[in-house]
Amino acid sequence: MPDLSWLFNRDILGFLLGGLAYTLALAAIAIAISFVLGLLLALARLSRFPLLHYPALLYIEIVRSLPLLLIIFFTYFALPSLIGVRLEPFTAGVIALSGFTAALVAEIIRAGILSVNRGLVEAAQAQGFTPVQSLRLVILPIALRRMTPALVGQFITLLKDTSLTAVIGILELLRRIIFAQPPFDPGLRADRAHLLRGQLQLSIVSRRLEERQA
Amino acid sequence: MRWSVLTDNFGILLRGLWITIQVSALALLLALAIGVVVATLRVTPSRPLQVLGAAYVEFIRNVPLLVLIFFLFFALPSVGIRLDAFVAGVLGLGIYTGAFIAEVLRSGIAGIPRGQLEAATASGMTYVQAMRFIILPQAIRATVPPLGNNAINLIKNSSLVSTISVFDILGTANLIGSRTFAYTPVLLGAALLYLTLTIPAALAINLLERRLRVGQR
Repeated sequence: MPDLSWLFNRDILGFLLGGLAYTLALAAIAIAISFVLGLLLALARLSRFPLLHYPALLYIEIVRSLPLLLIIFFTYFALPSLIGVRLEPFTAGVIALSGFTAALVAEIIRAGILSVNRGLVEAAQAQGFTPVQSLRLVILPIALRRMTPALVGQFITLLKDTSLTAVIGILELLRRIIFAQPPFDPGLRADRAHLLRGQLQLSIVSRRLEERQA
Repeated sequence: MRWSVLTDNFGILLRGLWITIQVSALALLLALAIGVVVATLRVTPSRPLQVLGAAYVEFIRNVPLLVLIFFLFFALPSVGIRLDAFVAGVLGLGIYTGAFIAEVLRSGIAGIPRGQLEAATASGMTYVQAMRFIILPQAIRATVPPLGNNAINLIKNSSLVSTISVFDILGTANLIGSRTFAYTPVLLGAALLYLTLTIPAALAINLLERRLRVGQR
């Protein structure tokens, strides 16, 4: 067994907990943005207006086909020179993670919306609902319930994906654990324990949500 | 933007593409082998073997792939196992994707109603015949789309080997980028190279899916 005594020291554990906070903050912000962006992309893709439909389709299909790591590098190294704004690593991480996950969330939401019985939509229209009303009051409540498991699965993936931002220098959990350990000493297990705990909590939340909505 | 970086470094970018193809193909073979073994463990009648299979799947699926790759490459040397970066990358990708493939295969077999196996044996088929002619043909049909998605994810995930100094597409692009500071054209070129792999793969899977659907009522 490798010696892990270096790990159980106040400074190092504090340093790592700070990394856990970064990981959770990154994930939480990216989850919020990607959900909103994903919903808008899904609605745009389902829209009959070509000006909304085709850009959304193109964005979703291209982003889904690219590695997240490439998108992270692109956001950090290339995007600033394109838009003329310097990006901090954390901002770049949030943009890359949300932009990538939004494309996947959009497909989940689209599938959820398409799974809603057409008759319900027609019934809503027959009751005099406007399209926005029937979307907000009839379609989305049903669709959101159906896509909860898939969405939570995607957000757990996002939590794991935050580890990729270590490569552009964000001091999240994985990068701190690499910094913290003496050379060539495996301490990655602690990192796993934290991530597993976070995921376990997400899974429990998801199960509760599903139970409550069932 | 200096697009000439792409033409100047065309040769090494293509070499990166070739490395990505090699890493992905080898890791896919490993993942399929692990997937079949672990899925078999999970459907055996033996309880300890089931638990072993389930533990593998749950542990690996819930750890970031980058942690797994770093563990193989940076941590194993401290216990005396020194892996080449390419080998560590293929192993990490294979072990990771294997857990997902095991789940796909298991749910494919579990999705066939048990009554069909009973009906087949009641009609005089042996267990092997029932599997071969009744269960597996249906299970394979159900597993093709998710297996294909996992293969595409594997191609995308293979970019992580660039972090342990394997010069795949992304590794090469970063190298060129850091030398020339022309990140924008180089990364866009790398994106195009990935699209030439993932989009045809997605189309091929759609085609295969449609082929397999023929004959299904």
